[in-house]
Amino acid sequence: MGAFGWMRKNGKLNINRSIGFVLVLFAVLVSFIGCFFTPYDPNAMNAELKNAAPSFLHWFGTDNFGRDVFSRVMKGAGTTFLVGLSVVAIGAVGGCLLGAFTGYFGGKADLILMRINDAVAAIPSILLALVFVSVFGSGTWQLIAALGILFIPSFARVVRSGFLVQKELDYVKNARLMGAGHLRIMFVYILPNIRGSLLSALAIGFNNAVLSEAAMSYLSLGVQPPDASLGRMLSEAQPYIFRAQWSAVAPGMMILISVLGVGLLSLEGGEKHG
Amino acid sequence: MDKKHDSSEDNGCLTVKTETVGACRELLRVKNLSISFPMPTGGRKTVVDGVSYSLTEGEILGIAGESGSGKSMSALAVMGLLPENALRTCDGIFFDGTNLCGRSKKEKKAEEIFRSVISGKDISMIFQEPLTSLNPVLTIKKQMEEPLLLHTGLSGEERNKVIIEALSQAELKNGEQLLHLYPHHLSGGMRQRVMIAMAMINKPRLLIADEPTTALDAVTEREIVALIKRIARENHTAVIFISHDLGVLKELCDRLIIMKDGRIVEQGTKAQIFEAPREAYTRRLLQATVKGPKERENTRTANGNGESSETTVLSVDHVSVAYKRNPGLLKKTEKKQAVSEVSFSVRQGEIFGIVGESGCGKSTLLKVISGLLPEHDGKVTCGSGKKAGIQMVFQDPYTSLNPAKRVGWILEEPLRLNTALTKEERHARVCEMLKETELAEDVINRYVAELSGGQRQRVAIAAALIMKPELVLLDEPVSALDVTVQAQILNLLLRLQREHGLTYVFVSHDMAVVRKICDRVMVMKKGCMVECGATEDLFLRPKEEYTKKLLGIE
Repeated sequence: MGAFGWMRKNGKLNINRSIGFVLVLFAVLVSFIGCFFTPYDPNAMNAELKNAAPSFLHWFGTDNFGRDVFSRVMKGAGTTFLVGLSVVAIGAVGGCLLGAFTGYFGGKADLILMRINDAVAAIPSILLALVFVSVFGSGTWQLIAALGILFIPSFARVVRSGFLVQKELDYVKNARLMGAGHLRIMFVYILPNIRGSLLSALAIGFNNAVLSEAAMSYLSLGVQPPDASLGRMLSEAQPYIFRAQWSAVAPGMMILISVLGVGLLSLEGGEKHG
Repeated sequence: MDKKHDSSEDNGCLTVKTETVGACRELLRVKNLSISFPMPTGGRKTVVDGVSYSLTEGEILGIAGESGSGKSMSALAVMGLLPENALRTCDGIFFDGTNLCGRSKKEKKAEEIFRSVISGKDISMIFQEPLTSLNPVLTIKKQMEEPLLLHTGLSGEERNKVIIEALSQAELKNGEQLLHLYPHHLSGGMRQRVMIAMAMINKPRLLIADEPTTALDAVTEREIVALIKRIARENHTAVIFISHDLGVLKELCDRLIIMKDGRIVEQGTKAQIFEAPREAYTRRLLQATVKGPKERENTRTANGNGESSETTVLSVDHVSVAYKRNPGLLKKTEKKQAVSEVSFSVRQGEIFGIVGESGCGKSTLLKVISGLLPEHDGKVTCGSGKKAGIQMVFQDPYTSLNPAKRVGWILEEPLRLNTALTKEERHARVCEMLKETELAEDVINRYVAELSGGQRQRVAIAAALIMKPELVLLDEPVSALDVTVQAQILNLLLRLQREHGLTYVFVSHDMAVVRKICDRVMVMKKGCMVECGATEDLFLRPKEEYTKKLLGIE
C-alpha cells in the first residue's frame, strides 16, 4: 500500500482525502514555522506603512498600524489552532467521560445529566461564552475554558449513543462473564469500537472551535491585543475593509483553508483504515 | 425438461422469445453470467463464474450453497440489485424474451426503463431479514399500497380491498387491524408473511426469495415454506428460492441448483439431487444437513459418556423472570413474563439441551444462569461459584468478539483478568488453546473481521474454555454458520467436551442438532417448561402435543 495508501480507495486516488491532506499540511506548516520565524516582528508597528497594499516586501500588505499581515497570519494561525485543539481536547475528554457513564449505566443519572446537556446545547454557544467571559474576564485561557465546556455536550451525545449501541452487543456480555470490571469494559472494550464516529466528531469539533475562536476574538472577547489570532485580525481589519481588503483576506483564507482541509479529511473519517 | 435447452441453445441470441417447451413456457433464462468485485489490494474477485440456468412458468427452482457460493449474487443480478462496484458480464438474462442484461450504454438505459416497468409487477423479491426489509416508519398499509400505486390505477377503496385480500392469502386473518400497525408491532413470522403478501400483491410471474426463512425458528419456517409453495401454485408464479438449507428446499422445489465458489456444481430435478446425487460436494452437503438418529449413536454414545457423574454442576430452582416494559416517566410499568417457574439440574459432564421457538425464553434463562440478569425470582446455584466458572459461547460470532482487538488480545483477556500469569505464560496458554480448537497460530495477530464465521466461532470457543470453566453455556452456537461448518464446530464441541469432561447447556431451535449432541433435552414454550427427558426418549416418544409439533410429527 505504501505510506500514502490511506489516500487511495479501490486503487484510485481519493480526491477528498488528498486535497484535505494538502490543505491541512499547508496550514500546519505555516503555523509551525510561525512559532519560530516570521519575516517581520508580528507586533512591530510602522507608522509610515499604514494599510500598504501587497508588495514584494510585504506579501499580504500591512494593516492599520503598519504591521506585516503575513507575519501576523503565521503567528495568529498558531494561536487559533492552539485554541481549537485545546477546546476540542477539553470537550472530547469531558464528553467521553460524561457520555460513557450515562450511556453505559443509564438510569436516573442519565436522564438528569442528559437534560442538563440538552439545556446547555439549546442556548447559543456564543451567548454562553459571552456570559462566561464577562464573569471570569477575557483572555486566551478564559476563552479556551469557556469554549471547552461548551463543546462537552456535543461530544457527550456522540459517545453516549455509541455506548448505547455497543453495550447491548454480545462481546460486552462476554467480557462481564470473563470478569472484566465496568471501567475496563467502558474504556478498553467499548471506546475503541466507537473511534470512527468519535474521529468525525473531533474533526467537526475542531472546525467549530476555530470558527468560534474567530467569532469570540472578533467580538474582542478572546485573544487580547496586540497578540494576533485569525479572528482578532478579522476584527481589526473590519473598519478598513474598503481601503485595505488585504488585511482581511489573508486571515480569512487561512481559516478557510484549515476548516476546509479538516472537513475534507473527516468526510472519509468514518471508514477505518488499518 | 430443459435438457434440450442447455445443450443446443448455448449460442442462441435474442430469438429465445416465447419459445415453448412442452406445455411450459420459458420465463427466465440466464446465460453465462459472471460477477466480480474489485479488491482493495488491486485485481478482482470473481464471485459468480459462468452460471447459466433457466426457469419455466410456475416452476419452483431452488439454489443451494454455502455462504460465499454466489447464490444470492446470481439472483440479485436478475433483479438488477447488484452492488454498485460489481462488474457483471453475461450473454444475456432473458425475462420472457426481453434481455435484462444490457452491455452498451444505450442497452443499459433501455434495461433500466424495462426494469422499472416489471419490478414489483412481474418480478418481485422477498429478503432474508423481514425487520430491515420493511420500512420501519411506514404503516403496513402504506408500504403495501406502494406497488399498487406504481403499477395499477386502482382507487383508494379498491386498493384497500386488494391489500386485505393479499394479506388473507398470506394467512393473516385480521388484515384490517394490521393495516395501521408498524412493522415492529409484528412478530418475525408475521413480518415475513406481510413481505410475502406485498411481493405477491400484483400477482408477479417471478418471485425471488433470498433465504426468507433463515431468520425464523423451526415451526415458523415450516409454515412460511408451505405458504410460499401454496401461494406460488395458486397464482402460477415461478419462484427462485435461495437457501443454504437443503431440508427446506426438499419440501419446496421442483428443481435444484447446487452452487459452490461461484459455479454450478450440479443441477437437476428434486429426485435426482436427493436420491442420486452425482457430485461429491452435493453428497457432502446432504450428509451435513440430514442427520439421522443412526449417525447420532456413532457420535454421542461412542463417547462413553452415558455414565455422567452424579455431582450436580447447576441447579435451577423455580426461576421466574419478568421484564418491565415501557418504563416511561408517566406510564405505568407493564410486566411481561419471560420465564416462569422453570426448574432443572445439570450433572457434571452432561450436555443438557434447551429447545423451543424464538421468544420462548430460552435465551433469558441462559442470562439468568450466567448471572447477567440479577433481577429474577427463584434460585440458581452453580458448582463451587468460583470466578469465571461459567462461560458462554454466543450465537453470532460477529458481535460476541471485540472487533477492535486482535485475536491474541481477546484470548489472553480472561487470563489477564483472573490469573497472575506472566505475559509468556499467557501466550503459551493461548497457543495451546488455539491448537485445541484447530486454529493456526498466526490468527493471534489478526482482527476478528479478517476471519471466517467458522474461525470466529472457534475463537469464541477458545476464549470460553481457556479458563477451564465448570459450566459452558452455548447459545445457538452453530445456527449462524453454514451446514458444513456447523458439523465441524459441533464435532469440535463434542471432542472438547469428551476430552476435558466439560458440562454444556446447549440452547438451540434446531432439533436435528440437539438430537445429535445432547444427553437430555428440555422443551420450552412461552417461558414455561413443556417436557424434559433423555434425548432419544423425547425424540422417539414425545408426550406433549407441542413437542410433536416441534418435531414435525402431526
